[in-house]
Amino acid sequence: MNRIAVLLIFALPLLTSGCMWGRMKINDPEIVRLARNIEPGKTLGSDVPRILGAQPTMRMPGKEYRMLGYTYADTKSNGLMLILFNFTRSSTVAETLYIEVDSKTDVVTRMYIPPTHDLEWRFWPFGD
Amino acid sequence: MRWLSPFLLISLAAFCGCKFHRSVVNEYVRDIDTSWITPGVTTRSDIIDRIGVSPSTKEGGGISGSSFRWVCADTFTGTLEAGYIVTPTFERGTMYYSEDILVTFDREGVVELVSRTRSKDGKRVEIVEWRERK
Repeated sequence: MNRIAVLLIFALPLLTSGCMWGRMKINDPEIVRLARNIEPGKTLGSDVPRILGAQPTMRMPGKEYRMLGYTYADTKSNGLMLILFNFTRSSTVAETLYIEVDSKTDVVTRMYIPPTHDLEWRFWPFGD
Repeated sequence: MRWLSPFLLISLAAFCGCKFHRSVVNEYVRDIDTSWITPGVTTRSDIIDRIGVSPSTKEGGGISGSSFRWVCADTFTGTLEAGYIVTPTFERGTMYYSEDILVTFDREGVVELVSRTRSKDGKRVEIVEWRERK
């Protein structure tokens, strides 16, 4: 067997690749879609958990208003798995749906729905 | 080229593999514009209306009654697994905030401080913005 063939045999596993894709969601980002059913000025704060189907992840009481926050996250992981080298990268976006409720009337007075961020599948861990 | 074959042979026999992993949380924080925030004038409501609130998790920065904090957390881990049957594992990682925005409020909800720091490697942190109420 000549040297080039030997080299190819050992170099082949280096080039043989597998790929990995992973996805993980913490709480349901779909909560943003449900939040569009909340009408500031009309919806009661006590109805918010029923509409969203979840309790807030953050609750901050106040004299004039209380703050409710629903934090959710979405992660995409991507990897190039070689025999000797594995390159993986995961990108996460965590956002908070914010709702403000009047302490006296219990009416939702303000709501901030975060924008949707596009998550890319990226495996290369170096650089930006 | 003669040295390459034994080198590859030893590499394959000795090492199970090297892993390079990068995790980036909230890359969008780098694009948040804070230049319009004026300490002493801008209120918590203005900030909520324009850029929302920070995630209520430690990795995402956090919220308190007197501050909002957004961070872009960057983690890099390199792992070397030596051997096949007995595999001692060597791992080294760094975690740092490549972008860190802190906004603090007074009791009335008016901005007291806007601070923004940036780092490319976690070793050198550059303060790119620091504005306090006069």
